[in-house]
Amino acid sequence: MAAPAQPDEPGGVRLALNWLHTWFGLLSCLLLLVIFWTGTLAVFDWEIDRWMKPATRFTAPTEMSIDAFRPVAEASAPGAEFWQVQFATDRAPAEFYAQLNDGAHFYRTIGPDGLTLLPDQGTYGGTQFFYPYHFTLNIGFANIGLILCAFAGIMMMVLCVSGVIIHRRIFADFFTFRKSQKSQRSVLDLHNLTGVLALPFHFVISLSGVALFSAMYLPTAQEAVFASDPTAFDQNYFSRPAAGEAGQNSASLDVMAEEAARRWDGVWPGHLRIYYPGDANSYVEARWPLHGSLAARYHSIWFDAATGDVIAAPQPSAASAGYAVLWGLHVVQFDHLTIRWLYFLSGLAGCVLIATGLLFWSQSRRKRHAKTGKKGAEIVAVIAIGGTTGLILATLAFLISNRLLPLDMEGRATLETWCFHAVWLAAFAHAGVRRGAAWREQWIAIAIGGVVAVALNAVTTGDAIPVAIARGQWGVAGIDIMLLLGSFLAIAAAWRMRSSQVRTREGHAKKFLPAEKS
Amino acid sequence: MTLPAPLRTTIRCLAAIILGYFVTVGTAALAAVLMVRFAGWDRTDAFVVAGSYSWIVWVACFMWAFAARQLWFMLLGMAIMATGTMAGAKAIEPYLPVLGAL
Repeated sequence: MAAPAQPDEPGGVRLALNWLHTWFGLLSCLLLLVIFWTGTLAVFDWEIDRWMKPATRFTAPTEMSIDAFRPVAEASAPGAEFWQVQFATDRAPAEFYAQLNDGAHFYRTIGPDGLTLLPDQGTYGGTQFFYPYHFTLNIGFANIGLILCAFAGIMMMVLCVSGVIIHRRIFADFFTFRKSQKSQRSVLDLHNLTGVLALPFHFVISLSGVALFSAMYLPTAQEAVFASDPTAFDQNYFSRPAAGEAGQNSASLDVMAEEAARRWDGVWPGHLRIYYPGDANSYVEARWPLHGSLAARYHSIWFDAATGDVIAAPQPSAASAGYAVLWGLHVVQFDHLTIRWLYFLSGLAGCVLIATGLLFWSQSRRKRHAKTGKKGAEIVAVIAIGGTTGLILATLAFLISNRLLPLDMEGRATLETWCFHAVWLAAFAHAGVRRGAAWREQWIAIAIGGVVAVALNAVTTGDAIPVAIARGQWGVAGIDIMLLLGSFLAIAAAWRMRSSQVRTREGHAKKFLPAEKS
Repeated sequence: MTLPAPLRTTIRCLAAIILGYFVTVGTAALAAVLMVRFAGWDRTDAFVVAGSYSWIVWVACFMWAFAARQLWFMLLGMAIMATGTMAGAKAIEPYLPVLGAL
């Protein structure tokens, strides 16, 4: 059932929605590919951090004294608006974060003794590159990235619903995969299979993704609801301005953390944040941790920094608990390795779904467009290559540059992101020049890149896979293993493309094939 | 009255994106206000929950915009829903309890 030229053509609702699915799918595909790929990587963002910041690869003690750490914090971020200590978890050591007066951020990992800051690791890593890329595209200007990502989320839901409606044999096709000589059929089967198999995931992840920033996207609705009670919007968050004069912040921070844990039936806070340190109005927020439960609750207790008394401890309502589940389902900060891997695999299924949709669009129009001289199919084929293998190559370039650039280099973190985007752009250019052959060449480049990244990790940090496992660094070893597995799959893909090209061109293909890259 | 097909398609796209968004905004506002008024939730909770699930309304508007055979009926329907829900929210809102900041 091909899409009609216009939704108004006779054939009923299914054909009209097929038009919607086809063209709005095409419109949002590249954006969706980027969001799904970076989101899939962000599932393991702390592990990527460990890989990219070798000095932070240690098993951190979960307990530390913030009172003992306080002089270090105040010496390294003097006059900060606030500073916070994020306590160590199974996935990450303790982190220090300060917002300085000039608006600049200051991030450091806290050493295993709980009293030192490790030197700057010169990278944004998983938590500051892939994770924000997933919902802002790292475009801060006028929230353009955030708005584009929200629109992509709505599009994903629209595509899910319209895809199900236009699909006649949804149950039968669930069990259908025709590994056919005709790759167009395989591509469509794979599109249907990944779409149906992970449909609940795709829908809920898109809805929760958009829902997380609802207040930002619905300013007029917020205005209407809070018209006569505007300050009520901050009901659950305590804040007060700085007094502007120095004060005694002598109350023990450790006691505050213990008091929070006592009120939370033994749950230790995720982080402690000290606002306006040294000011007479200074106060401390102990935040509920994210890793202990499915629900990602915004739940805090506030203390006066001078006396240590509790200022505010709002009880979360049932409604906000429900919202927290939606949030928790999206940000996967809870400790559950099996579910984490299922998120990773579902995310990859989403990438395959979007990429096969794009491929099908291009393949089914290739002959017709070639005949009529239209460029559409060729352009979309280039986008498909750049958006899939190109994006994987860019990711590998990000990892490889991280292991090659010297640690003390000025602007190192930014340079890594430049490597990512330069390689990505180059992959698009390569696809534009080499056309069909680019698939195979980029798969080969991915295979090489994966092995290079693993080798560089072993050489520059000494953490070859067996060593990392022996040291208990499963996150680092896991990334290396996935890179090698990816290399193997990339070689398999490249090999299959070669053999299918040879088959379809009945043996005359060899002279058209590019020289082997190695 | 039959407009040329490409123009009708353009109208569908614009209705889905623009009118669909305003129907979403209105639905979120009205649903939140009703939850405060009749379920006794506070405004923050009601707005956060209504806002989260209102996005499904936008998705439904997309389906409607493209499935509709009568364009004028669809356009009029969305316009009435967008303005009606928002007007309803604004009419009820002054009667809600005022809590102020924490």
